[in-house]
Amino acid sequence: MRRGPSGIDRPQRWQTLRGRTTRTALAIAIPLMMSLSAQAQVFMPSAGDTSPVNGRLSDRRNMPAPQLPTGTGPMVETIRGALGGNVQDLPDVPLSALSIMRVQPFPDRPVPKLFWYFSDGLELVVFKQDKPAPLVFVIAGTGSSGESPTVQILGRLLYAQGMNVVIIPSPSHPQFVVTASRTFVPGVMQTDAADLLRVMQMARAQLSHEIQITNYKLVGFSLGAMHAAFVGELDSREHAFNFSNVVLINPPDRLDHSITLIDSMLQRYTERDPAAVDRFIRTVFAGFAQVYAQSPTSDLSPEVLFGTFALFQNRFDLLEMLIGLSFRISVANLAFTSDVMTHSGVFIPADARPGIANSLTDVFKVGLDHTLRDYVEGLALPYLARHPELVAPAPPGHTLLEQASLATIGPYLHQTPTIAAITNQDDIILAPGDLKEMKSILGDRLTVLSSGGHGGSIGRPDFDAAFNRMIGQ
Amino acid sequence: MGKRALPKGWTPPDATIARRGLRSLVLLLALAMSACAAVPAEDLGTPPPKEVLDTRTNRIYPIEVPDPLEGYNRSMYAFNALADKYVLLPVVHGYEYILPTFVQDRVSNFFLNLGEIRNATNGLLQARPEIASLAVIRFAVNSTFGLLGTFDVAGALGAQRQVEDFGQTLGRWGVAPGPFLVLPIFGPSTVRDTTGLATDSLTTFYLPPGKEITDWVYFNPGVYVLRAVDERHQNSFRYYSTGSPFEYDLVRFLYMKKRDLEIQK
Repeated sequence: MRRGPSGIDRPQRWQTLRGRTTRTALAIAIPLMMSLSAQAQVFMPSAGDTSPVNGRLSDRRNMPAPQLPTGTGPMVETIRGALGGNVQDLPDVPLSALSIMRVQPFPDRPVPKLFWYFSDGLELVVFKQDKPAPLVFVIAGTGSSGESPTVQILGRLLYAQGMNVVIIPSPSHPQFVVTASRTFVPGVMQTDAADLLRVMQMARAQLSHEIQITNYKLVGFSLGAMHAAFVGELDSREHAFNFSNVVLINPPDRLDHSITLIDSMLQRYTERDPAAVDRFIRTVFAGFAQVYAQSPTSDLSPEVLFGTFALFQNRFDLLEMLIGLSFRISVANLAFTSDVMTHSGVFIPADARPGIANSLTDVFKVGLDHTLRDYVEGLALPYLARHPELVAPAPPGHTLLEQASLATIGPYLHQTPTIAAITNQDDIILAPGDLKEMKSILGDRLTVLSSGGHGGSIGRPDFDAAFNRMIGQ
Repeated sequence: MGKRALPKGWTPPDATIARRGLRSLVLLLALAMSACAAVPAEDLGTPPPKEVLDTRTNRIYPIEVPDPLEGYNRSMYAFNALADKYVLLPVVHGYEYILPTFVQDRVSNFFLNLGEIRNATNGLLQARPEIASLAVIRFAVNSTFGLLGTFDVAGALGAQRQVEDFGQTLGRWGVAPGPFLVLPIFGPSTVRDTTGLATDSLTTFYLPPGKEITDWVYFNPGVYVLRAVDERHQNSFRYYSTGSPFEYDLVRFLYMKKRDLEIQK
């Protein structure tokens, strides 16, 4: 122990100066801090875009390869894909190439108190090359941010191919709704595409000083794939980017069909039994406790979560409810955010201005009872009907929801050789007939893999081969 | 693009939260003194979609957790997020930038090893000698062969860390968690777990032999800061990274579930 100038041991001297009260206060405070790590590190497997590989970019480095169950079937493969389970040896993006970029498409727009944490703007994840290279925009799926595993994996695959990457949150993510949506009610492809194109142009303006861009490419996953198709179509008229390649990964063919399919994954259980979600959660946590009890350490590690997943990998009902519930939470996030931004008076009174201290528990409970169709038909479309200046009306005989389909821009997709798509034969968001329609629109530019559910083939060799071929140089 | 006239961090919404957080801090002190105040969450004017909730009064909502201090808790949650963003995380990022990962891990292990004292005492208090002896063996092996705990030799040999704290000890003997409580800076807790933490800190400070060493570890300002930075470094939780307006509800629900699991184990 080093000695201070007066010959008294430093810590004791420090104590003398500060007194015993401080000492006791510190004695309480430091271990409180210590236990924080154990406490706050909660997994949120179903909370929108979070996952066991939660946390910011830097934390993903050195992540051990997760041990996920190896079962097959569209549900298991969909969940495994969403957890990033197919990718074992993807090269890391060096810290120096990683950054988070913020754009403010509407800098003068006030951000409600409740959403103060979005006031810095829309966050984009950027992977930069240090030599001239293409720039690929990646659009995330429903309710997801640029940090969600699926788009992170796609981004890393592209980075490994020598490309610059910008990952954009889904227009249905609350941050996008608050900061970058002109209408506040995402779901209408034409307005979403305009919002996305605006964000991309702002991102390019910021990046052009830092990287040398040779050409532009566009990739979208799930709902983001449908967005990518409409952005491609919009750009073919506006010529802002002239994308050399557009790749759609697991796109819905008709949003209307996909909504029905995903909504029903939870609905079919809750209609029979209102307590279905409660029982589901009890079952899952009981399984969790069982796996955790056998774990050699008390850390709630991803292994425990994945072990629980393995335990239930043959319970079709539980897997289906997990996907349905996780989707439902994304919908609740979106619907409530839209309600606050549009003052529609659906979840809270139109004149309410909730602050950070207001309880949102009741709103969340109600929100979880609502489907994506409820959002579209009960909030988004009525709001747009009241504000005809925001969006061009649907052609006679069609609704705006029906307009959200690949067939709407069918001629463009059919004639444009730079657009390609990958999907899986058993994709759970495709209704009977959807695959056939996609084939008729895209022809041999559609690659159909035999399995993988929704997004569960990403990172598999057959997927990577098709993807690398489509994305070009 | 995104440029602001005001310095970052002192834009109006943030300032409001800082003010609220400070108010909550004062409130917490007042609470500690009176020990019996409940702060209702602010009313939204008219309650949210009442007709929907009223028809289903018998339904069980798993997300519902007793939270009489909700108004204070939510303000403190936001205040913590702010403190995290502008104070803790910048320091942690600097720390991670400067030090090689290898050194960061040694620092983490050193402090984790000190935690074995807490694990051992609580293993004893829970009448689970196997956990207490595991902690003692780990502490002995790692403090010596593991070079003052910087290497987890015992873990590599198969004796993995089993964390026990006084909140779990109380839970094991049937003490209910009590109301959910968000502590300043430290985050989610309950009345029971907060009591546990305070008790653990006192035992960890005053119990161990070799007072000179523990004094050096706990009361050296430099080590104090290093410990705090290491704690935040080890924790990958990031406020508002779910993007959900209901993140507080999700964290509250999962915290309670997680503590139940830990007590069961």
